[in-house]
Amino acid sequence: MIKIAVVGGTGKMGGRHLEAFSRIENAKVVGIVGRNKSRLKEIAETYDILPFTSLEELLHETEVDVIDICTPTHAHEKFAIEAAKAKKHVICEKPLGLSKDEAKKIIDECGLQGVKLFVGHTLRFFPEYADARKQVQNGAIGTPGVVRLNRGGPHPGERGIWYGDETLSGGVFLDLGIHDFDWLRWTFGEVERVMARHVKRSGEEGGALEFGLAILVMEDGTIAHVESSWAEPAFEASFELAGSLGMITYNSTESFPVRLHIRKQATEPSTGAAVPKNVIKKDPYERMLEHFIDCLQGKCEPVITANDALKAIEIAEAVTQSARTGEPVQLLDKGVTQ
Amino acid sequence: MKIGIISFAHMHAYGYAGLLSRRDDVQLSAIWDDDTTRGMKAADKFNTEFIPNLELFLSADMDAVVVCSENAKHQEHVIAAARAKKPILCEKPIATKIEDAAEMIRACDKEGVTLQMAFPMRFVPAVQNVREIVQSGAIGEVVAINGTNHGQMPGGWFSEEEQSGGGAAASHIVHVMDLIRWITNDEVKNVYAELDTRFYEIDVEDCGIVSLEMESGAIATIDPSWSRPKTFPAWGDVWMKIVGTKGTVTVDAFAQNSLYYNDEANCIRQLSWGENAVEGMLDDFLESIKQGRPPSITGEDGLRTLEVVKAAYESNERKQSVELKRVSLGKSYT
Repeated sequence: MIKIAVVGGTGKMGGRHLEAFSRIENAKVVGIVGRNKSRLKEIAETYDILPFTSLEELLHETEVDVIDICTPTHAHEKFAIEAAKAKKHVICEKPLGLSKDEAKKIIDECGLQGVKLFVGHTLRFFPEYADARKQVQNGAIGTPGVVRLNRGGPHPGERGIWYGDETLSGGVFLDLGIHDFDWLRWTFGEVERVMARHVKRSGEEGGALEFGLAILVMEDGTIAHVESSWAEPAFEASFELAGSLGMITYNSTESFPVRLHIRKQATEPSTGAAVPKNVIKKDPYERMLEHFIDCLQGKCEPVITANDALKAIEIAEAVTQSARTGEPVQLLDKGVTQ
Repeated sequence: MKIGIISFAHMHAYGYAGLLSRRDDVQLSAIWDDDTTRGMKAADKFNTEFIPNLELFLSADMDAVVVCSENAKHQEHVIAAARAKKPILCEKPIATKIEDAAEMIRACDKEGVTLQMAFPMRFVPAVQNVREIVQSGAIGEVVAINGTNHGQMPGGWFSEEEQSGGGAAASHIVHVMDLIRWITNDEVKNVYAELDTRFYEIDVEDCGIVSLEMESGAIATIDPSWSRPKTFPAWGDVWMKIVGTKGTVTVDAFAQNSLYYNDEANCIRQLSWGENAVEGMLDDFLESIKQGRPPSITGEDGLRTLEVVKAAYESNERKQSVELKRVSLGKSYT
């Protein structure tokens, strides 16, 4: 049995991880760290685990194998390094850090302390994305030509003030676009060159918004278009993969197998359609965390390595830099690298 | 009204001829084509006269001409028609060279002849609706546009650079570019493009993405790729998502269709039941001639979109962004 502690367990992502771990054999959450004391008490009671207000305290008082970090991005480095120094394995939500440097420090410390590091790039565990990659690699669309990926939702500022602050979240490309950047690299190989544009508004009638449009040219020549949006009314993700022999398309809002709508009394306001998000035996978070536990038990090699997570940040940084300068950023010099 | 058609090189000529010959108030009076066989066949099909000599054709009694020759020949044919004082509806793109487009505009200006560009997308009711929404301020200030004009590879002279001026970029940037300008009243400031040939063994680009910064600071991308597979249920798409400070509006110009699963032909097709935008465009063109009012889509609209296409090619060549320099038309002739 692998013992886990969740840092940032009172947040949205922490809740998802706790829920997933509760269904995974061979894993047991023993404690959580959070700042909101009433939430902390409530969650600790629900899952029958010990609440702590600091990682230091948790490490001192519990026997634990893995520290799972679900805090806002800017706190990843601090907790990951603290956990590694205590010789605990680390699971960290994506992005691994706010910058390549931060990510590198975490990787180095985990290496130095001889502990394993897993990064929560969940998209690799979404069956539609994992399958699309397999199809592309099996030649289903022939030579890939132009691939388009969209990902968006409401501005998350309301969920946590840190999202709107680029110094805390890294902005829409690092926080949201990184899913698609990692999937592109996983599917088509390294990124050769990027060009991006970006808009950000706040304090206006329509509320805060952040929106980016990026072009990535992959080493195999595939041209990718990525829309990363914090300007949508609801979450939506889609892809369209066009190649010389065909095209694969997907849209999250068009593939809900169940739509539930409860009619209200005429006097009550309608609440709209309620949509179960994951009508699937194991949701992607459970698949991912179960995979990390399997890796820890030596059953398999990780589908996503810490180096992949570092590379994803490198791409997001290049995209952000391009959007700032208005010029493309070269990531791969084809003349030198294979 | 008597209308003549110059060349059936572009397949849209057949659509125009069909629509024109169905009208009671229009007579498709003559056809000229530098390909005699093609011209005679078309004349036969639409029950009209084929005039093999352009000068003779242009001296005939006609209220307007439609130019559907290969893109590279627009300049020659438009200028000839202008000199013969014939109002012109010109197929897009306006030309293959910026100098040609400017010369065509100046010639029409000088002769006092209407030059309208064939941008039928402006006559799709959904597009008009979106323009009203945006211009009413309902979505606030426009900050970003993600647009596509995908298609299947048209083949023929469309993939011969000398005739067409390029591939997918030359053919497919202009429609969405025109809509962006028309809907937002904004002009392009900066252009970046990645273009490539990845779908077909042709000598021109068949795909890519164009990234724009507008004068207002808004950002946009246009995907002009010939990336629709042969099994796609339609020729392509025109789609835009317009993000404003207060909201977002999307338009799928060809969403008004029913899907037909056809076992006999072993294919799935979209059966459009939307308004015919080309008909709307022809109505508007003929009306402007009758009333003697300026055209609703000008040669300058054609030129401004061509400038973006050219900047896209330049950017793709240099792998750098290109500041757009707009040609001054200096209306000294009028």
